[in-house]
Amino acid sequence: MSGIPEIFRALGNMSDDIYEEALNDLEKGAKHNEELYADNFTTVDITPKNKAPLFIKAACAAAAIIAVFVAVPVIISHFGNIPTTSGTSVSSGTVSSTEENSSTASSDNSSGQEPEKLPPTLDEVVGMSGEDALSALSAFRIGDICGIWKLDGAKQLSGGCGFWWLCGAKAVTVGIDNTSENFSDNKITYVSITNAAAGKNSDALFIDNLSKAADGSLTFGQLKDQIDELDKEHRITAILLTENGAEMLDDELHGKSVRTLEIHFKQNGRLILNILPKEKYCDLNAFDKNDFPSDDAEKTVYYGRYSPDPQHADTEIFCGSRFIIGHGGHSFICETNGDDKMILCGEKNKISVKNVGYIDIDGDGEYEVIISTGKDDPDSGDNLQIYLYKNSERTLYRLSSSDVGRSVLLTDGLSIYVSDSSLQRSHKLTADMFRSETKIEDIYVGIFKKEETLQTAKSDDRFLSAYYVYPNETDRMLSDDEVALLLQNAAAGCDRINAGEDLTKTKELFKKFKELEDEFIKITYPEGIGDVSENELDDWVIAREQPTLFKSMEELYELEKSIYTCYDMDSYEKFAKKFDFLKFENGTLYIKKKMCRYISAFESTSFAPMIPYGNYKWYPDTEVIYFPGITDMKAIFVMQTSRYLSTKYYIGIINIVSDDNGNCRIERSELDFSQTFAYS
Amino acid sequence: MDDGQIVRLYTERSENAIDETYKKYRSLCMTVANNILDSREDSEECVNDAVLAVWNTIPPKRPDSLKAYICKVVRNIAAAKLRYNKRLKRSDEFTVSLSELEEVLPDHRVNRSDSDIAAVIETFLRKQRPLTRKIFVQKYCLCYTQKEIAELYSISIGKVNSILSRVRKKLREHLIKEGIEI
Repeated sequence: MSGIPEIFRALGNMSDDIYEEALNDLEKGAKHNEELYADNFTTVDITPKNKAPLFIKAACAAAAIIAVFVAVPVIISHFGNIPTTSGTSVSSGTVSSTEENSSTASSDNSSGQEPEKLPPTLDEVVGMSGEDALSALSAFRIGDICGIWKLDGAKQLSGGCGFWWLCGAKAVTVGIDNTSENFSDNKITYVSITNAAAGKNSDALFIDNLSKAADGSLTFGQLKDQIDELDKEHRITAILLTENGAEMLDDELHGKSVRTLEIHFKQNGRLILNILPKEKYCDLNAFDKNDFPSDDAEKTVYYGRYSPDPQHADTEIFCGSRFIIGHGGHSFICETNGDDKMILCGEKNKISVKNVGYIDIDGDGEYEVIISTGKDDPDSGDNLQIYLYKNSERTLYRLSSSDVGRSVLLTDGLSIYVSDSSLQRSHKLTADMFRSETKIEDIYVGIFKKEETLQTAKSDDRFLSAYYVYPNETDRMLSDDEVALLLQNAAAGCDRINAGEDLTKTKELFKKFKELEDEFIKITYPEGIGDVSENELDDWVIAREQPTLFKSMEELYELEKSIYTCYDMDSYEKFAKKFDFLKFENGTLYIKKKMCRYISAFESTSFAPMIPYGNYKWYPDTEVIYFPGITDMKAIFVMQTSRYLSTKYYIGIINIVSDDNGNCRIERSELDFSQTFAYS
Repeated sequence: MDDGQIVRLYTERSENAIDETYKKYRSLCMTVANNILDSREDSEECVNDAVLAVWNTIPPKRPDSLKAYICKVVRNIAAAKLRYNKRLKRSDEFTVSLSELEEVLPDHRVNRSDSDIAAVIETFLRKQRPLTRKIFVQKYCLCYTQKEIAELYSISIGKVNSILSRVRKKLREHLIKEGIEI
């Protein structure tokens, strides 16, 4: 016998469970040859130069591009469904593929193995089940498509779009129709590509109703190229396509100084193109359904994203659904589908809306809205209009600055809490509202205050850090029983458990969590990131991820000042003071150790304020992962998530504190512990 | 860290996934690789390749068992290395294993795709007693020696040989019955 028998190779295609049971016994027996792994092992280095995850993505993207477009022989071959890297040599910390190996791998393909998966066209994606589409898209360009998130059809773009903007990457978000509780059964309804070019906040491409839009000739790559090209010239903030979307991007746009481009495709296929230059946009006081030239407006989806202009960028608004909101700083549109259409209007230079959300109070598909106001001058009178749609009936409410900080009763069971900028992205609902919700998918934890108000936060917001509240000196930790009761009530409000159910189950979950805690804390990071001793807090270390788009704090500020203006950092001086834990020396970014874990947040969009030493730990999670008072962590909570693929429940961790007056607050973070235990 | 958490790190493209995989499965993978390659250096390279392959394939894949997944990858890469580099030596045990397998289904008689054959064999194995099934996989998929398997289950080597002999014979009959030309 000269080679490896075919049957041996075929055995590699058997199911994992067949292998697993055999491996389990072997593991129990632990008969491995100790000599083989006694020494320090060489960790495979899959990053080309820097070891930052961003660059891993870039490397993978580059590899994918090469593989797809340059037609380098496939280096990753398959034994059926099982991948091998027979042509890839990974040793001494580098990744290389030799010609010899490549050729052998190619010959392997010719002997029946599957070729490397090619990127899908838009047409191919449409109609796939959610998981299949995500899988296909994931395979397209790991790194270039650096995030794919499940979107509930009625929910929003999650934070991922902005997650990568500093690396100049792009993100793809896939929307599903959310017609089935089973994720796999949902169909793709749109794909959003976020073009996170340097110096721009967010340029998004929305493609809606792809099932009717694809013409069979538009691939992802072609689409991307066109967007890139247009983007260079016109600073297109958003392109929205609905049906027949493949007709996009006509030459007639050239030469026009458009700040915003909307392309609407009516159901009958007639193109309606709206170009909204800055001037018009800023003068826009109100949109109504009638403003749009289509009777089938339910098929039209409006968008809202950042304006690239920092001065108008402070209405970054993500709202809970496909109606999306906000643009330009002073005007915004919020719309839902069909008879539940809801339009909100703000006026130029008077008030900017920081937050718009909706709650389906009755679970019957009616949309109602809550808002909070922004930081702009709220003293200019009645300047915020809220249209509340219910049963096709529109009611107009006007709010003024005097409403800031208080709840306003809109209608029975619906109050709106108008917050100022210090409560960005938080909504306050009455306890009754919270309890009456039956289809909450995005809300999540609340804390009962004396006045029976719940403070809620959205789970899939990219500015999670904005939710953090900090312990006061008078705070005390609640007892387990108190926390359990609070959690019980909150969970009951989300229909997660029955009100009045005894606390046993909840307490058991606490116990599980506490047992988990040690396990997580034991994690040590390969580059020495971990708990930082008090004496080391102010030490400077080289940041793990070295930014490529800026080499000074000034540059960083210029790149992101539109964000920071939301946080009252409207000057470089304020910015520098806030981020005094960062510095550049000779183009290298240094960071104080106390923030070294969070600086991986260069992938993220915001910096969270520092938690006092002793109140944080590092956690092996790529999301926001620290929280104060972890040693006294008291509660977990559960919510449905749209953030992680194939994850039904999101386990949140909250730390509940109480002050001397008996008011309770939460400090919260979230981890996806769904793999560990579920609360359903 | 359990498999699900590690897989999630992969899906999130966290480099910690690599470290956690090494921590948890390096020794197992090294053993499987060495069973085939009989070389520490080649095995190390094989395991590194496997981890890279896992990195490149998760996502989109989300294996339920990372252990099984990576061990299969290791096995397949190791076999591929042998196939492509005929200068690599093989252990006597492994050579015998391959011979026994080829007796079950000679190469020149293979008239189905790998996945078809795998499905038929898998169906067959699922009908076998668990111990038989596990020993078959350990021997012919993961390339452990009869001695190691015997020690694992505290049975004699003769017993292992007997089980393997019987299951090979049954498998051959099953392949014929399923229309795979022998």
